[in-house]
Amino acid sequence: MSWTPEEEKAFLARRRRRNLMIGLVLGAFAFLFYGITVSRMVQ
Amino acid sequence: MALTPDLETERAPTGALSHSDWRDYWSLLKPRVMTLVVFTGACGLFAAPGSLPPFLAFVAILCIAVGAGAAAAFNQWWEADIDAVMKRTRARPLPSGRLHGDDALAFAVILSVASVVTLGFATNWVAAGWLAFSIFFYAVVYTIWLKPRTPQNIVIGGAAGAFPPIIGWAAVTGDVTALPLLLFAIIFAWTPPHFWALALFVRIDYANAGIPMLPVTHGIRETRRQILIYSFVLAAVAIAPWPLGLLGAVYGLSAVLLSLVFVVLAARVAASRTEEPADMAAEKALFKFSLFYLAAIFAALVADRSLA
Repeated sequence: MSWTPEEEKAFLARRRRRNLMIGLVLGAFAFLFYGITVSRMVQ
Repeated sequence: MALTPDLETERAPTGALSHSDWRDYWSLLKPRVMTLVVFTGACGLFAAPGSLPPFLAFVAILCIAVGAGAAAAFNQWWEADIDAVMKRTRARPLPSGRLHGDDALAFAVILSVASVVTLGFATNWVAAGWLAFSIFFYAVVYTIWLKPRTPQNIVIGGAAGAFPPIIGWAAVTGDVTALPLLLFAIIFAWTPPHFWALALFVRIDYANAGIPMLPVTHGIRETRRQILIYSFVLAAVAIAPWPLGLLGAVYGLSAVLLSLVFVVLAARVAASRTEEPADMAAEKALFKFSLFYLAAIFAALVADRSLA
């Protein structure tokens, strides 16, 4: 199974975008649970 | 959402994944419907006795919105073939081929679990349980089981959309009392006349898709009669919190006035004889007013509780 350079470039670009989105979502989750923990501690 | 590359799919130059982006995932959540869910959920939260720290209140509303979005994604995943034959829905990400069904299903499952677990940690597990049940009810009981089988689908489906105020209330109090159940009943009774008004002027779409909506199975006249009956039921449950002493005059007088207008518009629909969708002015007017009605009723609820 071999890709043309254009296909490989497009695939890598999609993978980069997807990884960035997953990173942002995980970061948001970490922030959310940090905020929940702090709010519950001071409640 | 495919978290690992699917080389076979990704290689296809015209494959579904090659055209999907975040906007397709966003539209899976039915953001317009989510607006109403967020609003009624927030009203339930603000109307409840007691309060949550602002950040936890924000998280609770976020979880209600995400849970509703997950249910909508389940719905679109299951109904992709039906959506493909309806003019109103054929441009959605799944029937148009921009998004793969497996990705939509994974997205729905991840959002469902995340919203329920987060709500449980942020507030309490009673609210999380109600959220989980509401997602299950909409995705399985309504979408998979009842919608394709019975013309009363909208009546039962109305229950699915009626949970947000209960969840919002439970997030604050950890229990469910008479008032949140009445708020549930208001949305439950509001849904049939709201959707049947729409279904009357888009019934050809529903007929083409084989969905047994009331105007398709029982005709226009019967649908108009049912709209009027439900508008009386709606008026009764909307006004009920006032004489029951659960809410005050600000809410009560607003509910009486709004319900009066609703019944008058429903009566105009019942009296209408036109069968041409383009001429259904009474149905279109009721549909538009029904959106305002629900928002205004819940706004009156919050105003009443704020002044109490």
